[in-house]
Amino acid sequence: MRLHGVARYGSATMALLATLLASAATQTVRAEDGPIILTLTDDKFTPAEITVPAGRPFTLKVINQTAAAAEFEAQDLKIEKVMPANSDITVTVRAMEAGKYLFVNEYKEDTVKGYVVVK
Amino acid sequence: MIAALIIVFREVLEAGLIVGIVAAVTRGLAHNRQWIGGGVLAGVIGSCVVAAFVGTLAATFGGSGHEIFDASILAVAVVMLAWHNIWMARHGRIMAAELKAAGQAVVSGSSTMFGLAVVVAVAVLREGSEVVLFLTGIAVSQSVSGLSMIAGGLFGLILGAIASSLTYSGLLVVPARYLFTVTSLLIAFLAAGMAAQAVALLEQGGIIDFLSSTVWNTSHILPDGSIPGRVLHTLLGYSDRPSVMQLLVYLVTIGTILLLMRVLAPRSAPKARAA
Repeated sequence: MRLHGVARYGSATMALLATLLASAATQTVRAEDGPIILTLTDDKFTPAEITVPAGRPFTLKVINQTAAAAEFEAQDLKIEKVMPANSDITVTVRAMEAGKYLFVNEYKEDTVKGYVVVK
Repeated sequence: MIAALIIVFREVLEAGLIVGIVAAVTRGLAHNRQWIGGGVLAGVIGSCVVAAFVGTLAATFGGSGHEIFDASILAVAVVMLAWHNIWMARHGRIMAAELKAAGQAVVSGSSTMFGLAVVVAVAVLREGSEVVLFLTGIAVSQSVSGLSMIAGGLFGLILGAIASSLTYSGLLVVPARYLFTVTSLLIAFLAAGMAAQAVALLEQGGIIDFLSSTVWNTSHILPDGSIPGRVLHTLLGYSDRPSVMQLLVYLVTIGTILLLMRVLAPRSAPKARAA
């Protein structure tokens, strides 16, 4: 009885894995260009809006020029990273479909924000 | 002040849910309060250490040091949760019978308590370091509203603790004969969610760059950032835009835990075994 259960779980899992892998096999696209650079100051990001091509991963380099730690967050891009004071961070964003995606300094999210426009 | 309250509350909510679940799962085990308290304390101390060294951490491994660190401690938590479930599958039903017979706290179980204390410490550390950095950033900027922001932050912490005790009380409502199954499932989902989170971190750090396409987009139905979204994210590992790799790891984690629980449970398990 126990072996039947194992066989059931095992084959179901393998079938699911095979389906997922097959569907994703042709979709590997790697980020190739250099990072897009954002600068964070006490009251804003510069630039406040950047444009990237759809369907290609990209990297963002965010330079924190303030004396306090900040948190770079872009929920729709699935990015969240703490930025130490006076330093920079780099994050990789997956290929996104067309749209306008918000990013913020989470510690000041009402006022310090910008957009990534994907076309 | 409200802004600070919301920021801190959102951070501690996830840790609060995990503490509540662990507290409910370990109810009746000897010294569980000390173990959980120890885990929280270790997490708080760890948060301060991480916050102090966050610059160094960010700079290692080509800039992905923080992501690798977070993913690693999450992986440890996943193993601890899996171990707890397997341990309970082997000993839990016997323990539950002993509890009823003896009517008192069971002394055994300190090894699984250590594992759960580690899980608590990891959860508190991950969120706590962000809270510490947020609050010290306010102190550094020496703004006029600084004091009210710190007060807001403290209220956010209190709200998080309330969420934690609500989770605990809510779980205690479950009738005793279902408690084992319910908590085992909760812990399995918790582990799978953490494993998927670890993958997301490694994707952000550029370390996993394959199988990264988005499987579904439910951000218009239930966004990750909303409070219900965050609760489901912690409890079930829900994501409004999971990648293929995240979904894969999630399914493999849950499947492996449930499989190992079945396979390693003692042959002479009492007839309480669910069909």
